[in-house]
Amino acid sequence: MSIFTLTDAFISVNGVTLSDHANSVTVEDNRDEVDITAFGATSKAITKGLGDATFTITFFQDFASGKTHATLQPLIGSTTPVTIEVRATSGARSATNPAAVMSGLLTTYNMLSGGIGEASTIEAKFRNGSQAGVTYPTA
Amino acid sequence: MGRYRAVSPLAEPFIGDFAKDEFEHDFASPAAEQDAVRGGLVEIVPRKYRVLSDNYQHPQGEEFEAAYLMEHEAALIAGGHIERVEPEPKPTKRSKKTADESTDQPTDAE
Repeated sequence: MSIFTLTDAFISVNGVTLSDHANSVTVEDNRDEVDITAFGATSKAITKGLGDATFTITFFQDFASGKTHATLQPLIGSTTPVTIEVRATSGARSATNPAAVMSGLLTTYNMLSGGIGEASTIEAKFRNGSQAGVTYPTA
Repeated sequence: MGRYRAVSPLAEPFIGDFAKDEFEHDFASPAAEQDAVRGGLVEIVPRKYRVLSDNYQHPQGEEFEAAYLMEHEAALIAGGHIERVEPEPKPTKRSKKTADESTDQPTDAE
């Protein structure tokens, strides 16, 4: 895969495919910056600290059974992390279509958002819920 | 209430007797269940489910076995994705005999 336009991203939440109800996704895999600058230094020095991860997805709201609200709403009250998987395309995992997988907790769920005449879109934010952080399987 | 299998003698506080192997238990909270499962004390006994939605990882209508944590199962059932398939009750001797007799009866078509 070369440089590409994102048109067919794959999004799965708790084993449920919601790609056809999403139009934006951001995967963040971060490490804290820990300052280790000591006396006598002439430049700041940092090292990496704890890892953190966030998946932010914008969904079109749909209250039908099995769709956006029915899938996400139970997770906002849940304390058990669920598996979230994102891929650049809906094709199978491969070296050129790696997945980003995280066991995460839904921490933000905007059930209704938008203005008159607009498509009802909502933002869901999943935060890292396990020590594994984000993994990038290719198979 | 979920069905679990003890995999460590340390599970005795839940089941009273490690030798019981499989047991039903109602954990006080989802976190307590997660701790017991992830801590290697118990494992969840797989249960049969049927897929209701068209966007779950198994095809719609398919029956499959899975061992879900209680909140995973609750979320998927509430979302309309799956339903439990309860095991069919074993036929009693009486009902088996009745079934056999009805098989022996000639039908109108015959």
